[in-house]
Amino acid sequence: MAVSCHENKNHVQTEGKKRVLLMGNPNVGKSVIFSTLTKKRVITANYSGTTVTAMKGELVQAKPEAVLIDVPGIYSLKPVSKAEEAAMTMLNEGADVIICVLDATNLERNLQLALELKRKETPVIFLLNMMDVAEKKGIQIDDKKLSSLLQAPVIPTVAVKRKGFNRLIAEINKVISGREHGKQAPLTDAMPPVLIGEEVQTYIEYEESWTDKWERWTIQPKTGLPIAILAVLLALAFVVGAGKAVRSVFFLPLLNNYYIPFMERLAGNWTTEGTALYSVLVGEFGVLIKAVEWPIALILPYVFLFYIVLSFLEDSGYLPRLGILIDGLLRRFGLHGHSIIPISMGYGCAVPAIIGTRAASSLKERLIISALVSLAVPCIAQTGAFIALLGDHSFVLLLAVFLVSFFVMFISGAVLNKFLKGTLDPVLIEVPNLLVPSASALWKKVMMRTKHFMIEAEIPMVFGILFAALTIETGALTHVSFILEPLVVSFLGLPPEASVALILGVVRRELAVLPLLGMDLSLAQMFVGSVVALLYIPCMSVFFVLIKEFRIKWALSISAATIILAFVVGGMANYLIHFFQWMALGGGF
Amino acid sequence: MKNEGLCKLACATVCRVKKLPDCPLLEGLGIEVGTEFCIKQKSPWRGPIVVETKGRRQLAIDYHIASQFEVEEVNGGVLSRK
Ligand SMILES: Nc1nc2c(ncn2[C@@H]2O[C@H](COP(=O)(O)OP(=O)(O)OP(=O)(O)O)[C@@H](O)[C@H]2O)c(=O)[nH]1
Ligand SMILES: [Mg+2]
Repeated sequence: MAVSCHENKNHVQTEGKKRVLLMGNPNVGKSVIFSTLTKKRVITANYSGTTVTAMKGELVQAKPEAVLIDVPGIYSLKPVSKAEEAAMTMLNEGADVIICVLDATNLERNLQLALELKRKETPVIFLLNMMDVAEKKGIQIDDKKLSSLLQAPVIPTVAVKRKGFNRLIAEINKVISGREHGKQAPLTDAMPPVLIGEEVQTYIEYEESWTDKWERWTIQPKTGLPIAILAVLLALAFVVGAGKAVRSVFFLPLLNNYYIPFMERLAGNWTTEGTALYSVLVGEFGVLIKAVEWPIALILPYVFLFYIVLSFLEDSGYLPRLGILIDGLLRRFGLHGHSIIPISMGYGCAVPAIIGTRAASSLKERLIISALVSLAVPCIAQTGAFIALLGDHSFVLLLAVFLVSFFVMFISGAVLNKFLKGTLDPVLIEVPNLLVPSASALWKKVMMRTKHFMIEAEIPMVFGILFAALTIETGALTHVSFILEPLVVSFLGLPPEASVALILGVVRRELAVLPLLGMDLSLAQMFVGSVVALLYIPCMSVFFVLIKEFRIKWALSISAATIILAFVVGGMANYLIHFFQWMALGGGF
Repeated sequence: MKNEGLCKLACATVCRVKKLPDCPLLEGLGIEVGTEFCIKQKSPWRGPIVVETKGRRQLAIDYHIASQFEVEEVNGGVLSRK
């Protein structure tokens, strides 16, 4: 998401307002509660490590005024990752009250942290969240008894349905207005979590439900692997198929029949066809046309559809299960099973993927994932551009580009794993419940991400296109790209204009592909161009995130490596294709 | 019981932890000496072992860590359902 909303505010200022901390184990629903209580949207997903930095927001219904802070989930007060360090910083800065969220489907484990927090000076309010899921799983909890054992209020809630929130707000106000301050009894000799769990929980025998069946099927290898393959194919078919349909039925006719003629007439009013101004406005790289056609008609449908799929996968809790299933395999390529999450996010946009690695506990792992995402994982905008370029000519070529992406990813992963110091962290993941994502939550998330794409993409796109139009139409290209040209023409076998794509590719990834659209390339040239664009330098925003998350040294090395690899692999592809063509023509005999 | 960790145990075995491997995170996840759990699944290619503790929730434990557990088998108990 927007870099700005992930800014590492190590010191959240509260300006004399009361501080309310929202804490708990990972994946218990803290961010859902935060969004509801502050009317501020933050990303939520059904796996641990969604929130990686503390987020601050006004607690809307609080009296006196208070600030609510969404803290990254932790398992204990000993931090093991950057995200957990951020959580500890928040705790150490003190608070007027801590809201500790407990997962009702996982009480014993959650009580571990609950007891640690309760032993601090600060008053604690406990929430027993996910009561709906617990009920479905045949778990009954006596919250009154739990409250007396913990010596603090315990409120049963269903965060996604806002159940229990009135009582929560009342309790918060009671504590921060001082009416109840210090009334909470300190916990001197608490029972261990297992015993508390035994005291307050009853398990009811129940028929295995469909969710339970899916939970079993998705994690056991014999059914899990076919399901995984099917899921990937379905996701691909949905994004590519539906995207093409929307484009060809809706956007392209609209564009070709109404928008372009309209703009051409408009430009004709100001200037005459054939002038440089006319070309810059509505010519081959006309800014009035391409600034609408590229981001909206070509890319937007894919962005929207992809985020539907990604958000569904995230909220259902499927991704961590897949990660556990193929962890053994990924490990040989320097990846941790859980890295399937940042990598899937990277297929949307590399920026949140790289920030998301803060949940990983070693620098080595963070670096490997970030490098691979910058290098070989095309963002959805670039994928959309690939589909626009290749999809209409040859689906096999499109697939081949993705194969190259996987191949490079696995090889570089294995190489980095070998040469970077340190070992990979062991997997120790809580398997999330499979949940049926709520439609409204899904919709909000998809809209938030799509909107973000539009804001993030449109301005650089306009400038990029303007640059392309000016350089090509005015003939300035020869002066700009004299360094790249020999490389582009003789080594990669592309036309000289293609160097524009490489220059623009620095700004945004899809701009390394889109200019190739109007160039009458042969299939071989399209493939080479796509491979270079794929591996080529990550976009500007990614570069800045790399600097911010790691050091400039790493950002520069990753970028340099991507450029070199892009040209090497692209050149190799070019020579191989020519070699095979020559063989096929019988040149060898 | 011999010390062969969790890796050699069959799925659906219920066991009690006698000795924990050296991994501080386990405690936060609620696995301690005396904890009982049921082996649910073993991922292929020496992947993690999935165990289910009493709360009906599952936890994936790295193969390497799982192999360092010392456990004893328990019959029946609270964990076997259905
Ligand atoms: N059915 C149900 N789902 C819930 C409830 N509360 C939260 N969820 C879902 O649980 C998942 C996790 O919620 P988050 O708010 O992202 O969890 P978090 O505690 O912020 O997690 P981290 O940021 O990783 O620490 C999301 O998919 C929510 O939609 C609930 O009461 N009932
Ligand atoms: Mg969160």
